[in-house]
Amino acid sequence: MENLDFLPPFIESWLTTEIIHDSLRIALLIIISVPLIHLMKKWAQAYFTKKLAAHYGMLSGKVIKYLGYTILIITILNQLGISLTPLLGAAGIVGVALGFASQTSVSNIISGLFLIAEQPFKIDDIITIGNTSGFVLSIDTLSVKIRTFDNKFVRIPNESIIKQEVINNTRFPIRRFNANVSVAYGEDIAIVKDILMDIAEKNSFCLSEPKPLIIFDKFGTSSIDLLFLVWAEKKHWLDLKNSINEDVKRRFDEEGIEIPFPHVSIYTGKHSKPLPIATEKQFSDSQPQTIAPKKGFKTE
Amino acid sequence: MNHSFWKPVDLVNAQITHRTIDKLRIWLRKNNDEIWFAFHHATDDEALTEEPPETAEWSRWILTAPTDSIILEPVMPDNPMVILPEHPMHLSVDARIQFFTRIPLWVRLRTEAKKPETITEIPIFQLSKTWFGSVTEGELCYYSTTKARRELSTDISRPYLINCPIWIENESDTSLHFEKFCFRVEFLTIYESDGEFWADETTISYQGEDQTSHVSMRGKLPKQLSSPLLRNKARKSLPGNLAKRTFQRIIDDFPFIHF
Repeated sequence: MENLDFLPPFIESWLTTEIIHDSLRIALLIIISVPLIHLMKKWAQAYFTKKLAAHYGMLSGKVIKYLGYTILIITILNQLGISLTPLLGAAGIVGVALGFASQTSVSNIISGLFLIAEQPFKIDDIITIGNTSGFVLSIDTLSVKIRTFDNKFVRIPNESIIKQEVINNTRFPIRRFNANVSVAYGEDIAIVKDILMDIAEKNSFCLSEPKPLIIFDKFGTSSIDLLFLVWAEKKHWLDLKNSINEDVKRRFDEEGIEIPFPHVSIYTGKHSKPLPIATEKQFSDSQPQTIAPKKGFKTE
Repeated sequence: MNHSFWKPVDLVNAQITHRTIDKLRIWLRKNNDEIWFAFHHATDDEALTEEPPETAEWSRWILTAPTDSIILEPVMPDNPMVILPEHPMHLSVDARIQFFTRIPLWVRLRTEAKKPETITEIPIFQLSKTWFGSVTEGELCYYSTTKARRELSTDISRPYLINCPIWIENESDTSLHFEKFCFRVEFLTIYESDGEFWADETTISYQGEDQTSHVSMRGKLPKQLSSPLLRNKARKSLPGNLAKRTFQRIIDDFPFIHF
């Protein structure tokens, strides 16, 4: 230790060859282990994502990460000659104290474990929790991260997910779209049903099986309300929703089927004639009015 | 196949060439080392024109090696087919039946080279999609009805249809009643004989309601056919023993979806 003369005497006396050797060994252990754990985590993530699903890739990555770091810490403690038994005892006492202090975090961790075990959703699923819908980005120790359709990042604590209703929109391979179709009272329902079935048959996103279904929902205030139930693959559900409504509108226009809007008929007490309404002329004939064109609107 | 559609397409630089089969029209254009293509499925009341419509969407394909010829080859659809016989079928225990069904083919556009490059695959006839299985698990299929003829017939021969001989045998202890079945066409090889396309024989062995059916493609054509010519290999190679759910019984499989 002659070349350590520049150090203060108390450090010089403490810094024995053994300690230097231990420190080097620990440093070497960390330098090798940390990148190795990260490499193994990355490999497991990629492997299980490819073989199974992104969800299992994430889980395997987390298992390797936490297991790897636990083993590393135990090894380092062993190198330092620290026995784990008293530490575990102390950890128990500290754990109780910390548990009281951080009930929410512990609750989130436990809830996270339940979420992983129960698997109500997986990575890349589209879920709805409360008023939030989006793609599941990750299921972490404390929270679930979601990307909403308008590209916002939402962090939802695991505890609140366990407590409330979660809708998984993409769990099953096919989904049904319930279209509300209203027609005027004067329309022939049998013809309307035939047209709707034809629309479903011609729509490329609509599945032939399960068969489309038309349900007479109710006599509405201004219309007869039908439920038009059609199925699509989950990835084409939105396409179906858009296209089928457009198809219904276009086809009803072609076939002269009236889609009524809410209206009220006022009668004067007799069944036969409605209350006559006449409009008054706003402008006199001698003074023809012109409507000024909108700004930027070209007139000739 | 004598039909002009299946003959190779010779391309001249900057010129549009077109092919028609049934309601499908394909336009091809060579632009130096690029192949441009567009296709359109005409509706029943639409006139077939040689010129591509203004709405046609062209796709550009850049090849590794320039080519002057494009091969149009028949391929099976990319999903299984749900075959719906005109009438429900009933098979007694140990009974065996052979029938024939016709399936619309797809066309694959590829280059004529030692290492051919596939440009695209287009369905000649647009089939509707259907789901085979339950609402929680199953598979996406195309939908087709069939007369399930018991004998070979050529009265409705079309250059875009392939004749598929199917054997169904009931190896279970109960009689088999079904109204539709899943036909795994992606494992079928395409042959040509007497100006028609033929697939190799498929045998479906029904093992019972709780078990999956064993499906086997024999790689053989009916004996009656003369000098069959291999036109295209199957899309997928058949695993040693293909056991899958094949039959949908007459009882509605979706009782809980009605509302």
